[in-house]
Amino acid sequence: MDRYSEVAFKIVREQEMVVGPLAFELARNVTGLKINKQNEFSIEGDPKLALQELLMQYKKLFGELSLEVSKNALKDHIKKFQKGELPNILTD
Amino acid sequence: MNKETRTYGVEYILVLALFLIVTFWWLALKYFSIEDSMANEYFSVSYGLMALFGGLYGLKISKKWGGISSFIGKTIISFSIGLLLQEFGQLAYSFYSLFLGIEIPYPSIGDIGFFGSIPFYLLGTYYLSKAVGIEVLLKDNVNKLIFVLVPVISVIFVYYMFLVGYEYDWSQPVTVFLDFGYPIGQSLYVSLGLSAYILSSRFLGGYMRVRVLLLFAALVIQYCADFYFLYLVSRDLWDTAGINEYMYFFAYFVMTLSILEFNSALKNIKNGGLNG
Repeated sequence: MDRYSEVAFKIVREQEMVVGPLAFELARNVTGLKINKQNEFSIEGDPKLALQELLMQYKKLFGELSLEVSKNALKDHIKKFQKGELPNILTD
Repeated sequence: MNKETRTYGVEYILVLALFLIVTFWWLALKYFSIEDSMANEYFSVSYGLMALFGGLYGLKISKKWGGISSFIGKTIISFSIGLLLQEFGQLAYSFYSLFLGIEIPYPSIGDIGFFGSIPFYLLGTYYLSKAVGIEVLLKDNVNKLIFVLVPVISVIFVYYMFLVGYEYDWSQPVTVFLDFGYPIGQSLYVSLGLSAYILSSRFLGGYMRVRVLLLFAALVIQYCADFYFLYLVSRDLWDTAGINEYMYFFAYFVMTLSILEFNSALKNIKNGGLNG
């Protein structure tokens, strides 16, 4: 998995702990995010856009708190990215 | 603004029908001032059906939320077991008065249900707090203080309300344990729920907000019933089929409704409700 797919995987796994299988079902609706039967992630197209859409899916569930939970889970991963490489809602 | 599409299943009709039947039954008992103790006992043994339905339904639908693998699944399971234990307590109490025709002993087998529900309500509150991201909020020191202070104040309040001047009888250790365990345990589940609500309400939003708030409300209503029960019993004022029993019924109704709402929400989300 590339590093963007890893971030997506981490976000989905974190949300899975909150809402169960629904986390994967919502992730499968995200444009460009591909999840195979072994739950391996890949992103086609703009990875920033895919991550942004993924985060917004979960934000629609619990609001800002969902976003904060994702940010908290990714704080170590975020350091691996240059400024501007990740969606602003994840880094602001 | 998103318009929420809703799906109401047959379970809503059943719960609403039960709510109306029991409410009119209780009002009839009060309006006609029916003194017949058996009529009141039949009411007392029946209204727990709401808790039974809510508990069984909750256990069934919790799997769809991931069961014990997710915080929402564990929240639903915990509150469902709490409801089932309440019903066990109700049935056990009614067994003494309706079938054995004796005054309910204390402690009795019914307390396994009533007291047993407290740790499950506590667990449910804990998992609900985790689901709404309490860990993130507790990184702030002021939030940490609120999270600790509300339960501490609550425990001090119930101590002064029910336990000051308590006469210990160590020949009855279970009684002493329950006398302390009921008010303190109940105040803990509601105060932890209130802390979680106070801290999360500013950031909690989205499709699940109303469902989570309903669950917090159900906890508060359950606590009101528990608190009033302790108050009435401590002053020897509690009566069968009285207002306190209706409060319990209403608490079961709101908790059951919350569980139904979690299932309905899941169905709606899967049908594209988030994008509506």
